[in-house]
Amino acid sequence: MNPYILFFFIPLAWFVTVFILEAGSAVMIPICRYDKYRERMRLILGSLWAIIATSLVYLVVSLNGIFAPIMFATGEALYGLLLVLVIILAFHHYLIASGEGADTLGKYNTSKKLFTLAVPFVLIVAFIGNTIFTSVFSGYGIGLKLPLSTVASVLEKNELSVVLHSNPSLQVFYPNYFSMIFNPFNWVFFIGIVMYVVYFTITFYGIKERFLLGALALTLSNILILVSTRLWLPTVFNSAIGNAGFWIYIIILYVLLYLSSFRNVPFKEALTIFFTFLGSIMFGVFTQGNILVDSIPPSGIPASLLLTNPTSLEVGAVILGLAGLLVLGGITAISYKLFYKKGVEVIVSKKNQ
Amino acid sequence: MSLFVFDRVLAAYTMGVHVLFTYWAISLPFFIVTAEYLGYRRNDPYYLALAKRFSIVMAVLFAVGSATGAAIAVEFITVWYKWMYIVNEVDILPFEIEVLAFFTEVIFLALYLYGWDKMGKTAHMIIGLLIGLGSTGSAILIILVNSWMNTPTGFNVIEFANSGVLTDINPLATLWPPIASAEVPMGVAGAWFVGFGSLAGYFAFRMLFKRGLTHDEVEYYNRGLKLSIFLAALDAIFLAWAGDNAGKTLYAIQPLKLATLEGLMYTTRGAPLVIGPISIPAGLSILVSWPPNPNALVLGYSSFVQSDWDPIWWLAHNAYDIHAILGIIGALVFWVLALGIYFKSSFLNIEKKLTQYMAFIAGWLQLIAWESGWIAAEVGRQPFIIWGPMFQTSAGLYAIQAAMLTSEAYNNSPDVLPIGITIMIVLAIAVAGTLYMLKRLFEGKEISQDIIALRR
Repeated sequence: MNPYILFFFIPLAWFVTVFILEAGSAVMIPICRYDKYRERMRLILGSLWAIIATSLVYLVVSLNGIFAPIMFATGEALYGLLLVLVIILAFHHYLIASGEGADTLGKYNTSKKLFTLAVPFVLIVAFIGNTIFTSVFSGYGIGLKLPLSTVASVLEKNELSVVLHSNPSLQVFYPNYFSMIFNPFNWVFFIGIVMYVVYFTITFYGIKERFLLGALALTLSNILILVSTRLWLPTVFNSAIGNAGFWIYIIILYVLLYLSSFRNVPFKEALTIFFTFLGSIMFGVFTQGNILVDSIPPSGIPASLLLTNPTSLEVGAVILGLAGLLVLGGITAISYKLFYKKGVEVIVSKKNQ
Repeated sequence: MSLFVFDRVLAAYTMGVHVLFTYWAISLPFFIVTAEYLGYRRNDPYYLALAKRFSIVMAVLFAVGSATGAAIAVEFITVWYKWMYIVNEVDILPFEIEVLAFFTEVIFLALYLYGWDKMGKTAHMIIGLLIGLGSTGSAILIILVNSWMNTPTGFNVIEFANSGVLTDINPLATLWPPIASAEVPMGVAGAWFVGFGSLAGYFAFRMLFKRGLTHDEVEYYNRGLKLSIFLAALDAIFLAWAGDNAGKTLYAIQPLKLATLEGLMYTTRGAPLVIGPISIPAGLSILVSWPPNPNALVLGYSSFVQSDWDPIWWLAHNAYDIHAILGIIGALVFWVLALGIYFKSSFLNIEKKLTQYMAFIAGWLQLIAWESGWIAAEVGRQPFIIWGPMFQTSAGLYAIQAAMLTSEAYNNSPDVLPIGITIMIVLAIAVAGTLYMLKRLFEGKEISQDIIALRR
């Protein structure tokens, strides 16, 4: 696979991972019956704001820097979902940030109300994100205005700017929202991801009272993701089932759930994050760098056709690499040390008083 | 409303809301660190209370500024995607470096907020300054992209304007387009001035209109007002130079934009400086030339082909007039107030109502100056979204060869309209919600409580 495409899966996988952590915590706070876990969920949400905000920015700038021509897809086919996402994200940020603020001021009832109100917005953000993701890879809802051979030829010859210059009203794609949102791949895959979020949350917090639910959720998640990719994203399915590493990975997830629930394994939170990140990267590798797989048989088109010019890519990769170190390393470490650890210390000292 | 107009209104509105938050992100760290320094140096709990309370304000405004920044970023890749495609191919490096600056700001903001009483005083203040460097660096890098739109570099712009072929791409050359020499100082000095000015406006407002001020509150607001006036007056020197430099640079590099902003219809020697009803003979010629020359020739619209004239030049010109008038009044007011306070004038003492009213009015008017200056800069670039080389036609007129026209770059899908209106409403709610949140955060948290805690 082209190294730049692989590189892009780092910000994408990281954002998916931290969003799964946030979604799991936000949804569980109002329904979790156990105070000891709920306190940690609140702390995690309070520690995540900087990571979520910066990861999203990192993802968008990486997309811009690595795939310049993909702007035609975002501007002509995905704009509706992306702009609605902005609206929902605004409510999501406001409610979660206010909930954190109320928590800091010790107004726990208000914070619970705000987190409860945030839940539908978290789910909608997740669903829209999932729809964009499945549309780009499967091609559902993304129609081509021009013949595929013309588009491919223009991209191969790096002539998009020339075509745009000669025809400023050029349109390459068009959206079909019904197909984009209501295709079965989107829904089956989304439910699979929701099941994974349930597994993730139980493993991350080590909720031993819900071990069986975690195992069931992981099993369902694996089945749904495998079935959906078998039917609608065969490049991913075929790459996964023939890969021993994938099966070892699945086993590790079950072992991690067990160890996290009953053996108080050290660094269970970090391990859960790491393996989710790894799983997302593996998904990226299994796509073999192909997109629009279902709408353009037999295996879609290579995303390498959409790469920015080599000069800008080379210079940008250095900067994006440094930015990645700051987000995945610096901001995460600071958030853990300053927000989460300090919060835990405060709770412990209050209990000891 | 046509989609061509609506898309621009949406971008202007979103950016207008975003820049409302950015000037505080750029100026607040310097205000806070100066207050912290004075607090330690003079062993003054009121200055330390200023620093502590405003660091919370800074965090809330930072969060909302980030959210509005994300909104404009998504609009770029959806509503202005054709423009963004060209930016991605040639000028993405400033955006990528801006991410580094933004992340630096986030890291140091977190360290600063949690570093109170947990690290050395000097180290804490240095971290505060690094937040300011991060936010100022972010602003500079975004202004560089705007400068590139006005004077594109880093590729063969003539060939691109002729045929659309992208050749000789050199991302490093995009890092200082020629007009950046005017835009960067103006943007940074302006942001600091509006930040310090509006802080002065806030403190003056509290002193004038809050009933039953306690002794602690009077001392607290006094110091806040004094510090913001001094910082605004200091920055006004930088701002005056930046404004003068911007005029001279536009004259040399973008004479058509200068004609638009000044509303100069005819090419003139000894061009007057017209600001609202006031006309200063040969003022414009003197200001834009170096050494100052009252007979300098200033190109007006009559020297350019009509198709390149800004179709809404009157908007850019009037916005520029408002910007210039309010900016000059603001600079003069803050200089006078700073001198009055420094020399302990009995007339312009910090506790005099006159001083407070002057700071209140001049301070808050800077918000209008800021927004109108931004409108003038953006509207003054029309009809181009990416400017191109200037050449002379056979008729002896000048023309600009467009790298990309604004009318070629917008999204003409009708779906943008309802979603865009919703985004505008949501952003308005976000601003109101932020003010409400700030009010709630400080409810029941009296200044005197902070002072008692700091005296312990």
